[in-house]
Amino acid sequence: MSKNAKHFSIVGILIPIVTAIVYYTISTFFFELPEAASAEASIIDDLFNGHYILIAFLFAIVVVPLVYSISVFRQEEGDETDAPHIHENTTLEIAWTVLPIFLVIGFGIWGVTNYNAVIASEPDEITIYVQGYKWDWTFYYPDHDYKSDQALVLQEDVPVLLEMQSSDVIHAFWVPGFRVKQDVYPYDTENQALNFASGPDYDPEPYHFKPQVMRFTPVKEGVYRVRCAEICGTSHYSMLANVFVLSPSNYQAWLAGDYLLPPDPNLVNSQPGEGYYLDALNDFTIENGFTPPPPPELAPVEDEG
Amino acid sequence: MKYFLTSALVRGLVGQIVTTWLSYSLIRSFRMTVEGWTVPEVGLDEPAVVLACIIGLFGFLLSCGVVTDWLKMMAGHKPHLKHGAQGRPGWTRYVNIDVNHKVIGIQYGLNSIFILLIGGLLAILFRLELAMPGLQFLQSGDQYNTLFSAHGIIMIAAIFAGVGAMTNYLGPVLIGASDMAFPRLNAFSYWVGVPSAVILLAGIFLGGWDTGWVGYPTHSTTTKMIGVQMFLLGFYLNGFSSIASGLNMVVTAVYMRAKGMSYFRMPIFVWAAVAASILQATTTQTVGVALTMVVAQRTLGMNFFTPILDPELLAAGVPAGDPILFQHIFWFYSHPAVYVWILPGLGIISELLPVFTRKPLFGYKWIALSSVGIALVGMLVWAHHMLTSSMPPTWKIPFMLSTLLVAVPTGVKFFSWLATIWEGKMRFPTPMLFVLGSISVFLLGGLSGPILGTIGTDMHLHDTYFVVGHFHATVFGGFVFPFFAAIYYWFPKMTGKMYDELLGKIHFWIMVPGFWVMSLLQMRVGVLGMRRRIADYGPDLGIQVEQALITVATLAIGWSVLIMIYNLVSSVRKTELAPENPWESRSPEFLAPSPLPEFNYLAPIEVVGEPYDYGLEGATYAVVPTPAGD
Ligand SMILES: [Cu+2]
Ligand SMILES: [Cu+2]
Repeated sequence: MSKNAKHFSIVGILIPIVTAIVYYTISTFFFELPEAASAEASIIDDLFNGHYILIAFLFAIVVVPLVYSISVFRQEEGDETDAPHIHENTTLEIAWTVLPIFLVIGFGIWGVTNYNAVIASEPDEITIYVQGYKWDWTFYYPDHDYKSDQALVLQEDVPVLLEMQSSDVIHAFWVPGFRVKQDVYPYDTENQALNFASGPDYDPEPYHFKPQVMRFTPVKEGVYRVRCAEICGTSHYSMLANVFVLSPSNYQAWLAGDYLLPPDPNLVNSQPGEGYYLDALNDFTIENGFTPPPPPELAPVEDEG
Repeated sequence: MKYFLTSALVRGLVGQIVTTWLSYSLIRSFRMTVEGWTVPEVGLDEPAVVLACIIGLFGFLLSCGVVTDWLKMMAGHKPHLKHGAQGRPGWTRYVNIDVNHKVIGIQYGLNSIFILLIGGLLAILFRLELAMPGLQFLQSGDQYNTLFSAHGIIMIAAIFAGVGAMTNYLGPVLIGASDMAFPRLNAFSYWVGVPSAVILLAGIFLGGWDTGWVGYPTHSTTTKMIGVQMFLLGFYLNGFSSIASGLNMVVTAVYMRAKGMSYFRMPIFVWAAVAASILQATTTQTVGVALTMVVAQRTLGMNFFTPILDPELLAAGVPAGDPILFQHIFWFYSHPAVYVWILPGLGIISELLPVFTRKPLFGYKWIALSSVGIALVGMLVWAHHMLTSSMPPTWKIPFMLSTLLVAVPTGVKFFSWLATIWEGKMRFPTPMLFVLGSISVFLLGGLSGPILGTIGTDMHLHDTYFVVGHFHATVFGGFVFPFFAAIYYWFPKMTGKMYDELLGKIHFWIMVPGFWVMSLLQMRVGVLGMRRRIADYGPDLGIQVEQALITVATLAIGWSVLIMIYNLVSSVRKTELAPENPWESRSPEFLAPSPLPEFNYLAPIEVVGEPYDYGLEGATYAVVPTPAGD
């Protein structure tokens, strides 16, 4: 019995140590998320952090006893006898069935409140229509009657409501820095007149489905990318679009046509990840044959003919 | 050679190719003359391809002879079950119709490894492409898309064959039966899978397809790559194999257990196999429906999935479809499908741990019931694949909760394994190494699960490489490594020869660490923003080093599998016989000679004790009564 107590206390000491090491490794390095660039990203990252703690703890309580048993209890040279005949312990079995249920309930409640916070609407959202199609994105600003073919331009700290649809197959709107992702469904694959980004006549009411909506508030000036996350055919991999998050004054200047994209290089942060894009663009993209989309152009819809 | 050329396999394949080609030409010329159809750009007549593939399947089944007995029965004859090699060399049993469950099990196993190699080769091709940013040797996104889509579904076919190998070979032996309950149906389950695999593979060359193995409409209903039809049909036809073998296993386990073997005295693998079989027999139908609907929409012009919202069309009576509908019925099967693979795998882990720790399986009943628990909860979690879809939050939240609940029965398995290992006098031959490797890799898969189950975190991770890493860890830990453990463990039972221990260990020490590197780095690049199913990625994500390492790890995994195959093939040819019970197992199959006789036990065995009483003086599990008059 005392021998067993020794084993248990060693394992008991090792578990918190391993938990801490694993948690530190995954949260600061291995599974480090791209820099949080939206209000929703911070909310979601809290939940990520909770999961990282859980992962580290569960990893430790399985791996520590496993590795300890392998190194300590292994068959000794020449010992052909069997191990002790221990085949059941109902208390233990009940404990490791019931305790995880509490964890499940806890994470379930957290998951629900977290999700509600992520999708909550804000009072003064700016609505932007998003059209996904093979293999590009178009953004339409109903309040200003602007159609933007290559870039989504947003104002820092102003919540947006994206109303999205597809012209052909399912796509998914995802900006890693903003965390949120939403699948984008087709309304009608035959009738292109229903493309709401094509003009100011869009009125969702007569149609059978509502557009897919997504809300977020960009909080960091910078350059990001929309990445289509649902397999949609030949050029799915390059179904990207730039996202520019501008300061309020720049945003106003852009609306007035006085601010030309791409923006001030100061916006570019040098962290690998989302904002890394422009550095990468200057440094090695052309050499490696990866062609980024041309700088976005903004044109009033009327000019499109 | 003569025997091979006249074998059921060759006859079937020739029959399939000839009937497919003939019926394609007939339908095509009919359509050209009667319907005025003209050759389109892609050159192939899609509806004719579909019909020809279906007719080709019948061509295979009729010419290989697996349905002959049933046809005779319909004609009023009573054909006898044929046993043995029918005067041909022994190896020909594996390429001919055979009703013996061990032959069928080995057929499944060989088939599984063969398909696994093809699927692995495809993976290596696209991993080489992904090693660096930019398209290096693939010409287009379409080529890449075909490769990864085919990799997915071919590996799935290989895994189902592997599950078939384990349940067929081990199921009857472990419960002390002489065969499966329905031997002819068993042979049918195997043989229907062969032409289905041929159709899948043909799809790569006849147009390819770019929908992934999920085939979501409206992409799958509109893509111009008509290989998608072969994918849908091959997937669909494989389902017959699943349903039939699932039913067979359940009936076998219920009615054919040895005397004295109550349910709670069955070897633990049988519990897992039965739970998996119930899932197989009850959920496969829904994916069949989903796939049929896509084929019908593409071929017959019916609309199930395209939302037509133009008021005029609606007024004209064209019904609106819903792309979400497909996702529901598809995942209602395809989530449990993963449990069909991993439950038998986890069953192998539970089966082998007591042997190599020399201790009883801790909490036998809890482990047995946790398999049933996983199967039941697994049927209620399907929509967690759709947490970023347009499904309303009132649907997403219950599925988030049910998904988290899977952790409970899975946890029971892990903790019970740990308690089995604790104080065990562990021995480490190759099968045990793979068992421990399975536990470690399945742990990676399990730990990366809940974070995909809560909606907030899933919004970031959905359809990224994190999912790819999670899924591969789950499938390798839950199926592939246990399958390899089982192959090494029962190799002396199957062949009477022993594999080479050193090569087995080399295989393990390359493959398992290689897999950790691959899967952990896949998760890492996913967190950083790498989407799944992309032919190329920009340097902007800063993941070049990781991508290169993943490719290196994949190559290592590929080579290590070749080492295993070399090991097994060269060991079969050895003349030296394996010891009768090399693992000192208490399991009943080691009471019989190796390789097992045609009907397994020389006389019906009788169960007199608990299966895993290692360390209990004088305890026995099963005995073979000496046949009377012997
Ligand atoms: Cu897309
Ligand atoms: Cu699932």
